[in-house]
Amino acid sequence: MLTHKVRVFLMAGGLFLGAAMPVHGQNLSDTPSLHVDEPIRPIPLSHEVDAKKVALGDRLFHETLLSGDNTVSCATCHIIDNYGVDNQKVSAGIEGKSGTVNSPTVMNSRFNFAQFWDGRAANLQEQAKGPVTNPIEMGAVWEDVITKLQGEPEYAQAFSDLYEDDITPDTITDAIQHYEYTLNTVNSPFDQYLRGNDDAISDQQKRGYSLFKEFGCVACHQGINVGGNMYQRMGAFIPYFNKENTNSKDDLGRYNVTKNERDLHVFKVPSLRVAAHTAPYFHDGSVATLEEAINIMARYQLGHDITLQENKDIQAFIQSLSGAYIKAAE
Amino acid sequence: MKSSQLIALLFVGMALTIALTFHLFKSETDEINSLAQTIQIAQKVKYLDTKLNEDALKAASFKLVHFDSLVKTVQSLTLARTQLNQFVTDIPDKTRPALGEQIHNLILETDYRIELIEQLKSKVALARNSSNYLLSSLRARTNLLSTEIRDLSIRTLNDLQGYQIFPTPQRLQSAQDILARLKEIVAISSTGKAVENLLRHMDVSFAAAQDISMIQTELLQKNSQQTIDQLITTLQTVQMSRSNTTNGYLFLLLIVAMMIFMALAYAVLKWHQASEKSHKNAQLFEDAASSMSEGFAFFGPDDKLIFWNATFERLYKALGERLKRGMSLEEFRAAQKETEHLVQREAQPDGSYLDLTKSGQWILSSNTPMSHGGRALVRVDLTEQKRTQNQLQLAATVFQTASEAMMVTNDNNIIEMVNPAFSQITGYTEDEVIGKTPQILSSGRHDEAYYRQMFEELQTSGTWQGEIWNRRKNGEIYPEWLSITTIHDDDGGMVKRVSLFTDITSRKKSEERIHYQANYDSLTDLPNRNLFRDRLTQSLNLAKRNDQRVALFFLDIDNFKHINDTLGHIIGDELLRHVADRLRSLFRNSDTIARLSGDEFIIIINEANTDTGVKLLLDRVLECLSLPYVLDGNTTYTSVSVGATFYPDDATTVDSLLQNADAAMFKAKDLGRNTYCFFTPEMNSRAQERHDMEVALHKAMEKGHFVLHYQPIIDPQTQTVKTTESLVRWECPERGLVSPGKFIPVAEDTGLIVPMGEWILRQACFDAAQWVHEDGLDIGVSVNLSSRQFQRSDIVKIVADTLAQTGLPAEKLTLEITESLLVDDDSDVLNVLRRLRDLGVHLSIDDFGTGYSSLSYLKRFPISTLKIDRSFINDVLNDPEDAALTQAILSMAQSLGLKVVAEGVETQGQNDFLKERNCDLIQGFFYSKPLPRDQLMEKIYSQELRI
Repeated sequence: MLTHKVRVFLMAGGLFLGAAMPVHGQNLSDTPSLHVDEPIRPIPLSHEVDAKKVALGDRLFHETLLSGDNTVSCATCHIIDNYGVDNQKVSAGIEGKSGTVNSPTVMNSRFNFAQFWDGRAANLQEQAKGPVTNPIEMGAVWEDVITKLQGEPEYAQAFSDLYEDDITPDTITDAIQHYEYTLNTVNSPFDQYLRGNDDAISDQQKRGYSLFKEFGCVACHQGINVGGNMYQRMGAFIPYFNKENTNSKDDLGRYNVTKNERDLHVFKVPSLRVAAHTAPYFHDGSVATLEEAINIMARYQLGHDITLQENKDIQAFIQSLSGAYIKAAE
Repeated sequence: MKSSQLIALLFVGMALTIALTFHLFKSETDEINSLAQTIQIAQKVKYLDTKLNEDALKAASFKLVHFDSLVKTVQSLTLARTQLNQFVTDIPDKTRPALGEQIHNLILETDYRIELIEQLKSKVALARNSSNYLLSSLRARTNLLSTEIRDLSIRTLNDLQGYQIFPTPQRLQSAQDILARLKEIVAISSTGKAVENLLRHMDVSFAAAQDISMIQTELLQKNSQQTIDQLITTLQTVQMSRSNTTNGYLFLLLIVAMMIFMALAYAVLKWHQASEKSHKNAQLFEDAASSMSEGFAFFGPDDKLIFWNATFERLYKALGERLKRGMSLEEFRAAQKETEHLVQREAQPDGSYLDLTKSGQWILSSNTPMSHGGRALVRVDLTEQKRTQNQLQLAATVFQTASEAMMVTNDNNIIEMVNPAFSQITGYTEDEVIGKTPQILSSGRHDEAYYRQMFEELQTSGTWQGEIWNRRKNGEIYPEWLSITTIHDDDGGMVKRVSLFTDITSRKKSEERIHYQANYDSLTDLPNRNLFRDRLTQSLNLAKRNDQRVALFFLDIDNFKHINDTLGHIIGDELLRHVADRLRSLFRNSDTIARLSGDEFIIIINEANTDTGVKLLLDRVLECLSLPYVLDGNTTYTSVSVGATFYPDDATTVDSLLQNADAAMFKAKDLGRNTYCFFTPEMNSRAQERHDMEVALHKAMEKGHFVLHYQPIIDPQTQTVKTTESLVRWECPERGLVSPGKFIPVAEDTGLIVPMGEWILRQACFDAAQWVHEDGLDIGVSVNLSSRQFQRSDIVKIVADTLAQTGLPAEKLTLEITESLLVDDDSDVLNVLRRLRDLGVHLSIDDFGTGYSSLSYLKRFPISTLKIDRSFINDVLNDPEDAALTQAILSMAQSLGLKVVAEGVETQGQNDFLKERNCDLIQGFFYSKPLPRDQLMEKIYSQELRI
């Protein structure tokens, strides 16, 4: 499938869609960044997309036919225009059933090293299969979904154009994965700062970043996604869970995947890229504000009691990590 | 059926058979390719496995600022693992369980190692956070902690950091012991929440460091290299045997061809029997048979040769004329045996033979009797195939297993073929590069001219060799040794180019190592003087272009010599390393920290545009470097003195900036150490003055411009001269009489004091010997000894030699030393003083009362005289405190049996005060100023001074 591939270049302060070659030296991603030794890396400004699969994935992502009663789509809980979340403690599935964990954002999820809070899916395609058949989320059966999609001529056509195997769970999730690859928030003020524009972030945000490094937040929240590339125990410094607040199986974290006691209450370190907009926080959505979340992290993960001013500075820094999602066009 | 139809049918049959065989052959080849791919994957796993260990090591030593690269390695490994798994499920031949098992084992091992990496990441984050906390809190909250807790904390942290680098059980034990003590102390003292948190962080650090060490050991031990090597060997064996099977199909193809020929022979026989039937058809057949590449002959039922084609004739060229129509089979065999000497004959399953003749030809022959009588002889010359096959097999093996990367490009410079080593070195798989140009490997390090030159050389000589920088898929630039050869066709046109290269990163690294040694200080890993000069030159050039300021800090450790002398060089070296580490933590990567020599460091700060910034930085340097150092378990304190200067404000050249910074550093030392000082032009003039003085002093030594004056020392009770003090005077033709206060410190600094001191000693002894022996005067002489003379020369031998040469009795010589020499309480000094005393000379303490005036140490040293410093005497009549001190010194000296000389006595009152208090001897202008030897003699003879 060599066709349909276009390269999308997203420019600072605007949008430029062009052909495959970086002409006139306009490709910002090639500009050397001034802050190269920092523990955080900027999100690339351009990436290859398979435009037809992305378009199909986009439709499927918003397709309620993927649920048992045709009421819920991926986008019900992952609202694209709302930083990929619904801001609910736990999301509502079909027939108003409540989920058990907080829906994480789909934004920048391609940069996560594993998917779900406990990392049980190695990639987005594997992840996408989860909610469709989960009885309290989309509550569907694959055969029904396939039959429903086959009934729509446009889908039938699109799948047969793009895939040898037509409509299967694999091809459906492959298309969704291609779409999710494009859900990136690029050119955040902090990325601009990393690329050498010292004025892109405020003094408070710089202070916040210093504190973020000084307090050790950055030991886990690092890399391109400011997190999302390792596991850590919730309560690494001071135990966070006790008998009273261990309410559900989900609180056991990665233990559910490995069945190894070492992994009790261990979770994937979430990305902070759009964290400023994805309240409530943590796997159970139990914490309503970013301020509170930072305090808990400082105390239970890092063994620091931080001042309100320090907290505010770090919040300001986290704000600077969010870039804009720009819909890829064909 | 008509004969022509039969022939046509046979040809169709032949074509079909060949197509079928080819298809079989093709599917076989696919399988071999898939084996080759799997070998490639296994080799990739091998590479990634090693990389994983490297990355893990980097992570564990906190060298990774983020984990993205490590995640990438793990993801590549996971992908390779999945591909291997796919191969096992696709594995066509279930008769090779060993292969499946080996791959399965490799997958299990890989999964386990990935799991270890995940644990490692979590632990590294914890350890890093707690280390960070401990460092910053020990720096910031030092006032909140008691000295003991802070010292123990620092030692724990130090040991912990040591353990993180070299995890030995001893280090761990030592650290745990200190931590246990720390906890005991904390338990009994009332400490705040800060200390509790500190301890908790230490516990977390310990647990994490131990976990990290364990995980690392496990990772290193459970590496998959052996499993992978085994797997690769197995895969290669399978690949080999597969190629052999493919050869089997090649034979099948020939057998089928032979069967078809026999059918043709049958047809010929038919036509021969009905000889007149169709001349045209026979002709058709003969034409077809002649153009065949296989040799073909047919003997009729009467065993006479009926037909043979051109190829057959060529194969049996040696038979010559004897090969003719009507020749009997018997005759043919005899002739064949005679002309064609067989070296080897392999019987084939179908009854044919594969013969190797002496001339090196491989011929497959079958002599098949026909059902209707007669015999068909088919000869296939396999020499070329055999040779190509062997060569191909050899080439394929070399291509697949060579450690050199190989790349074949066609005449359009398009990549056609690469080997696994290519993928391993460049990171590109075969699929990713085939069809592209080698330009995708270009690093951008070489300019167009470089490539043009390469191309021209290739055009003219067909080959090129050299070192070139290329880029791997991951963006990394690496050096390779590349040789390119052009393959030409028969007409001399270019067909293909073969590029062979090896990754010479490791060789380069050793070259870099050599470069490193020439430019870096091996103790601290900091740039040395050499590199410092380069860097400063670069910085100045850059600053000039961009109109910016550069600051230069010259930093010297206070009391370093003392630390080195008392704690030993090993500890001294460790201190230097600690200082270097702390400096590294303070400055940006863009700044240069260098070690010039000994305890001198120098720092270049680029873009030092604001004074406030530089001052803040200097404050931080002083603060950070004065924090306690835990060296070999002992807490040591030191500080630094820093001199700072700016380009272009103070100077514009490397040398003058260095001089300025040096001068400013000395000023900082003068100001009392643990401080910094900015360069001012006055320092420059002072430095210049010192420099001029140094030059002049050397000249004076050569030309003998020094003279000695002698100041008499009087017994106040008898008013007689007892002895004299020799004092050096410099009569400089340009400067006039120079004060000793000005030139002695310069002589001390430059070491010129040593030869000067020897000259003074010799001259004084010579003069005194003269007045003792020739003039019969009972007057001694005292000579000042610098502490430098104690360090640098064998003073005992020099004194003994001088006394022997001049003939001065030892008891007439007094050596004056300063208090500071005794303060160090050095056993070497004591030893030297005793040996001097044993010569019979007297020892006296000069300027007594200005230093650590402790009479107690005087008991331990063989001292006979104290000289009370002139500063006490000056005010002895006006200042009761000075009077009391002088009184105290006098009475204590008396009780210790020491004589006392009062210096600087200028008035009658002072003289009387001292005389009343039984001061033994008095020296000063009240009696006489220092005089040249002759004048002193004159005064004595004229009775102005009595003896």
